[in-house]
Amino acid sequence: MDFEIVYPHIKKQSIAMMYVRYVFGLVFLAAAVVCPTVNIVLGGRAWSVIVLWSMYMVWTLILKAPLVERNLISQGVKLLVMTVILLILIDRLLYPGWAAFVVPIVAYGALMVLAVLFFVNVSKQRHNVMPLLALTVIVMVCSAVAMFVFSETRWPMIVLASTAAVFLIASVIILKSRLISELVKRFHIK
Amino acid sequence: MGRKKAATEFSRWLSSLPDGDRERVGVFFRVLDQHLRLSGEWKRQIIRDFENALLWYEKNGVSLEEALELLSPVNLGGFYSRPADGWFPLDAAAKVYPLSMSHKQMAVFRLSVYLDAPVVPELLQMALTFTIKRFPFFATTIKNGVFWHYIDAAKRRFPVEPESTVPCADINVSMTGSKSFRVLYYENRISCEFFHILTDGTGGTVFLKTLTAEYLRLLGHNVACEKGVLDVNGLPDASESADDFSKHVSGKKSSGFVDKPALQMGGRLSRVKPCQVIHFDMDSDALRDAARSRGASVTALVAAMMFISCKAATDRQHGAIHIQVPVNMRNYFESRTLRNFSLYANIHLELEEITTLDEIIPKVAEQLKNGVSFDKMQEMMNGAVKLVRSVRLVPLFIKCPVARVVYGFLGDRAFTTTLSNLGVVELPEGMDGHVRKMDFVLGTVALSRAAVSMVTANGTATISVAKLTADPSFEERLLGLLRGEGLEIRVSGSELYGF
Repeated sequence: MDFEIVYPHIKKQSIAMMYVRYVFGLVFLAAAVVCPTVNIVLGGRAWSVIVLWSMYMVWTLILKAPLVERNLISQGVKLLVMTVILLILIDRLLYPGWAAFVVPIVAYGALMVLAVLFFVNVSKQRHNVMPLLALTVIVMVCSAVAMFVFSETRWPMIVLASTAAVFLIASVIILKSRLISELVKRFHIK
Repeated sequence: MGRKKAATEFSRWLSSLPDGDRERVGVFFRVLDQHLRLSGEWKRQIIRDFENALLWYEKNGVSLEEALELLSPVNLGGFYSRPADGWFPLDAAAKVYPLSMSHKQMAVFRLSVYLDAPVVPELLQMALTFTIKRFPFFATTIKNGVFWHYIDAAKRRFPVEPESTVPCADINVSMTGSKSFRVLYYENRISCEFFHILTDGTGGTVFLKTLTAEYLRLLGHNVACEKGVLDVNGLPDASESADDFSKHVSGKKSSGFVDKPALQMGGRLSRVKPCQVIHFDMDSDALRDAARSRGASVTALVAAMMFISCKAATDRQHGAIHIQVPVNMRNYFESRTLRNFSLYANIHLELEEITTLDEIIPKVAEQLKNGVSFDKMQEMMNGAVKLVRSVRLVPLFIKCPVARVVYGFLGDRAFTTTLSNLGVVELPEGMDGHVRKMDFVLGTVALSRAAVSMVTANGTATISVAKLTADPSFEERLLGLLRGEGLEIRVSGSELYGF
């Protein structure tokens, strides 16, 4: 069918990401089959779990990032949570004994960076505060569990829990009623 | 226009003005400043938009007095001087879109007007800046709640863009303050592409007409605020952003959404969605007469032609072709909402039944009549609201993957193609002389190889086909059938993307 073209010519870059995702998807899928198979056949430590988790991190954080609320704070929180899981996996599956000390330091660093991002531009970032608040609550709960249930009381954990508590209190003071309205939006069932 | 170049050009123009005029421009920008309480970059960009528009007026011989009057910051109202505090829950129909969307698929539709002259981007930008405040639920960004998504107010500059992607391309709604619609221009065409969470075709038409009317006003034409054109300086009414599904739900009887899988057209699915858009323009009176001569409505005639075209686009010998026909619920219920208020009817014929137009038109007309009856629509609306209410306490992180799987199995497979007829769009006095025609394009879904949409404006009926395969059988047969009715068809469209 011959007809008049009434749309502009489209540059190929606009669809490049689709192909990148497709190629990486195939590579990751192949690796997800090959690595556990090799690991099981050769035996030894479960290193393939680390590979699988790392690929999942790259996939969800970069290649298939969330379609809703992909901002610095939400992605930062997600990166931190996934990194902590990766560190714990390495500790448990490959080289044990250091995670209880290292993980709180990593979490503290990330929490500080995210807090700075939030407080530098509160008027904009208040719309993104929920993932950060959820993280602080999780950090405080995990720290309490580690200290009181597993008796893993080390100074990085105390510093981390205290920082999270300070951030939570500061957010409540700064946001005041806006925090309530943010909670109303987030928990609505209409 | 580059930032520095524009700023320098504006400064040069400003310094060339007589003292009195320079003072008036200074006062203008001081008043503008009072209306803009945005963060740095947005504010600078909006001020630059005003500068560009003033420069355009100056180059086109419009007096300074008239230009300042047309661009008066009063048209901004208080929209940009107040913080973004509002939010809206999604309506019952919109709730499914963010749940089912993926990196490959997003429910986007597009409405365009074709003007009698090339679009002036500087004035279109100002028209959008003045119009957006009248549609507060458009000035939003989608967010995750614990149980449902919602749209959160976003105060920012909403830019118009030259067309540079495929029509109905995915909209990036993920960033802080991301918009869920885009306004595009290309030659003499203004297009609005909407993520379906915001509105349906009717609401989108009102937005596009209001935007176009404001654009024409900035060009110095008077357009009456009637026939779906809103006064941009009027106050938004709560009924315009209401969820009318919940308002009109009544009775206990409800119908489900599950249907048998439909036969799909053949042809390899493209990775680019849609891979092509084709428009068939024709005289609307001639089309209506052709339908009347067969004792059918325009929708029934086109649907019947689509059944035959679908049959021509598959090698299968057995199976049923299903056509999904969106239904405007405003035809049944008193409603002023500009958000989603439409459902759909499903009409189907077995391949063996699809023979000639004469034979299938009565069957199609009958199914359409029954499928869009008030009772059927009421039952479907009850079902939709009931479904939404029954899962309202299920957290989003569970709903999302489940909805994606369910939608993948049931949603797309239940129909072969879609026919969405927006009907006749009435244009107000002052606009009809400047609008040649309109078109309406549906975004494609995962499996359906073609989605057909239709709109009539200013005496031209435009049937648009959004394609998901390079196989041209469907549209070639449809064109042949239309020409077979004695209609003179002008064909236009896009190149084939991604092949």
